[in-house]
Amino acid sequence: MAATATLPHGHEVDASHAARRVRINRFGLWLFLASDGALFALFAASRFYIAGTAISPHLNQLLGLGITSLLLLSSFTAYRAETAFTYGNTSHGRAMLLATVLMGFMFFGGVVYEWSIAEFSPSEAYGTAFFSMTGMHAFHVVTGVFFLLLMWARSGDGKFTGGTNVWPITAAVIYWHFVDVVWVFFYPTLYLLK
Amino acid sequence: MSTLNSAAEQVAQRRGLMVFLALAVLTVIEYIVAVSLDSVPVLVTLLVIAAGAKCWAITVYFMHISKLWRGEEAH
Repeated sequence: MAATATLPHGHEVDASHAARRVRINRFGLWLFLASDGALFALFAASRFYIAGTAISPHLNQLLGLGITSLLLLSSFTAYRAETAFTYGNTSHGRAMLLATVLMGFMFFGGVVYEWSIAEFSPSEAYGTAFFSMTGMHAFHVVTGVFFLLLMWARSGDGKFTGGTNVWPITAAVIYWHFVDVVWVFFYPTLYLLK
Repeated sequence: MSTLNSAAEQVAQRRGLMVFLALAVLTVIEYIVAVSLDSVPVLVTLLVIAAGAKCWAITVYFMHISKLWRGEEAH
């Protein structure tokens, strides 16, 4: 008799069928990330086209380093959450998901604060690049936080445990890592050049 | 307080910690290089290398990109 797996919405399916579904879902997610990544790459390219490598001398470098470190740390807690769910450790996974969400909120708060104290306007060349790039990225942070919060809320009854059942958590976490990867390039592009 | 369940989970979590520490070190190096270097071409080159290394570490170890071609068993 073929092994069965229970999908998060309660349907029992053949285990190999469930694994194939996850493979297809994973491929679809990466296709989406590739297209979204192209959009961010265009934002970065336009920054150099309209403002060269110059940055504003009024940027708060410590704040930039702080929110970058925070996003990096949130990627680590997201990894811990996914790994915990994979090994059936739901309580640790949920705690790490919540920590990731909190750091996402803090990162967003840092960006909003940076906007509020910025001594350059969106009409300047660098300001156009800065506000459009951080704005688009912050929007992705908010949607990522929403997905993670949704997974935290739905994981309370222990249905995301082991095997293919973890996929919804994995998808939300991969998306969060993608948001981090984008900032890996945006941080030096916006803060560290001369 | 939640705890780790199995030896396998502990190994995976430790690997995540190592990757995070490497990413943190690279970020600090980026910052130090940026505040201490004046040559833009050299600075851009070093920042591209650092960002590329961080991107590689996140996509390989955190996002498990190899599962795209190896299937679900790879972790």
